[in-house]
Amino acid sequence: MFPQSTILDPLFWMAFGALQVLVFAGANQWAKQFKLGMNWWKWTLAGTWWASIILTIAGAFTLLGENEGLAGWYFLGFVGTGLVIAGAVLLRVLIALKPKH
Amino acid sequence: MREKTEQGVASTSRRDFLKLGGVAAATATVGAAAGAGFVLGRDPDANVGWGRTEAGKDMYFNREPFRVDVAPTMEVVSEPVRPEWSDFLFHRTRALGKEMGNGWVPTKDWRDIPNEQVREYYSRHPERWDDMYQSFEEKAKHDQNIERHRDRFALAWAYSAAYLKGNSSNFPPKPKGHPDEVDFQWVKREPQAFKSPKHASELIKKMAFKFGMSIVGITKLDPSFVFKNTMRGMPDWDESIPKHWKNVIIFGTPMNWDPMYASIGYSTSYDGYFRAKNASGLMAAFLGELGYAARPQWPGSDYEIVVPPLAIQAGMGEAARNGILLTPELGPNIRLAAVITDLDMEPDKPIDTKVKHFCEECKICADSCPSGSISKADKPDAVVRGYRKFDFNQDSCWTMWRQGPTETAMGCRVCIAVCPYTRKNNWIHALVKETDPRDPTGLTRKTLLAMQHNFFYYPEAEAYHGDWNGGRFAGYHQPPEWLRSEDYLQVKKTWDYDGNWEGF
Repeated sequence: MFPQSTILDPLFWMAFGALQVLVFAGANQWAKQFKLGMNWWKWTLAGTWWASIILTIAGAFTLLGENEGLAGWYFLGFVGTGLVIAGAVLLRVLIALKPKH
Repeated sequence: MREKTEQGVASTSRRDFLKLGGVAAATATVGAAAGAGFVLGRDPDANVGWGRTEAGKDMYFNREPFRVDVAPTMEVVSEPVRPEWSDFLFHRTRALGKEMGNGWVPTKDWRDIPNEQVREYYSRHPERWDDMYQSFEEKAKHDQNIERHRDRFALAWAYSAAYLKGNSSNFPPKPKGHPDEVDFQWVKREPQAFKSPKHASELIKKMAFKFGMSIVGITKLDPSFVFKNTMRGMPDWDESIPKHWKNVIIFGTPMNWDPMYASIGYSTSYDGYFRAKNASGLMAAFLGELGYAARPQWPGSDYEIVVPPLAIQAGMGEAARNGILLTPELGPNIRLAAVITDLDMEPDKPIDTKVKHFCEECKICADSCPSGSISKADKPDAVVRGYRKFDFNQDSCWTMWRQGPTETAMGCRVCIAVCPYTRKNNWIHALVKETDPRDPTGLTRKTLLAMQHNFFYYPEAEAYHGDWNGGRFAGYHQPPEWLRSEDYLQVKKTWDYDGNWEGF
């Protein structure tokens, strides 16, 4: 996001949205390679995890930006660690539930 | 065959591109989220009351789902009693100052106070005279020490002084004479009829925003909050209330965010006072043009009414532990003005956003208060003129003002800066403010408060004092760049800053 810019602000968010298309298109290819058998609820869980981690990073840096340095790092450390663990658990579940051919 | 091979290569290449591109995009997203978050945190457009005022969008919290008949933070426990003239701190301090100007030397015995009305107050609160007496000593110490620190605070003091000069302008004019005449001096013609009281309310609120206010509410004039024996422009007054005082328009604006966070040394209320005062005059003039009487009330001390409880009745916010109005958008960072009028308007109802429970559990303001003036009790522990509330010692609060490292020894604001509700209007705080009052379990509140208590840095209460009183000029935040003298003036930086900063 470009501070106080009328033109660059919306361009940033459009580019951000385009990146997400690439993120999920790439994730789809990885899922196919590992034969995870993704369906709607698996994608929902994966998407929620991804949104959570991005919002946590954004939230921590929002706190840093408003001069709440300690709170920003603690927030990133505590919530971020929890989400990394949750991500590992989610990946383990996805692997465990791989369709058997 | 050749065609098939080419298709296979192309297909593999596309897959690889998507796989690697996805990883790259995810990495870029992490960086972009961090960058966007940081900029949103920094964004001055998120300083509520400084960006979307005219459109009324600084008052972004939808109060309608939270309207109630009785404000939960204004619980009536006995017959409401009207405030005395002397209940207002600035009435007392001005009267005492005048007596000292006339040669009176204060003693430790409140019975020696020559002013009868001030003496009446301390006869009701004799223990508070010690605090007021101490404030004289603190001011003397302040004056002996303050010049040594001008280099450090030069820009902040100049910023405050500029607003103080503006605040001493003669608009709106101070009332002189009987309110039955003075309040009608604004009136230019016969009253122009509105389509309905609802239309009148809607227009008046829009005008408050046009005049630069961030939050506005309307309520009927509750006599419980009209000072007795007080009428500006009248040397003597009794307990009567003018008949044309029907409704009150109340509005407010924040103090500039960065200096407020860096209180005490970098902050006064003068900027908020200046804008609220001017808006009260503009609103009075606007009403007069349409044919209605107006009695503006403005800070620091031009009041016949106690404004904060009326603001609570008008649904602008709720009573906080620190004794002041807490709005959903600005927390307690709001400076109020008002206009009493005879215009018929539809009043607003109070709100319940669970601030009562929040303040009971939070206590951050009480723990941070450099003068220990705020009650740390678990539940409201005082009854003030018939209303249950948290105990607050305005005299010891004043004592802190007089030793604060501002040039005029006025103001503190630490309790405002540290309040978890005093936060900018960015996505993360807006999300929290919308979620908490809608959570019937209280889990959101408890989680947030646990984070607030454990993740955030609060200097200890003593650190906010000047160095001559054992403090180190700490602020809840470090001062903003534009108030750092060493960045602009030819001064040598000989100090360290204490307070939150961006953490890099």
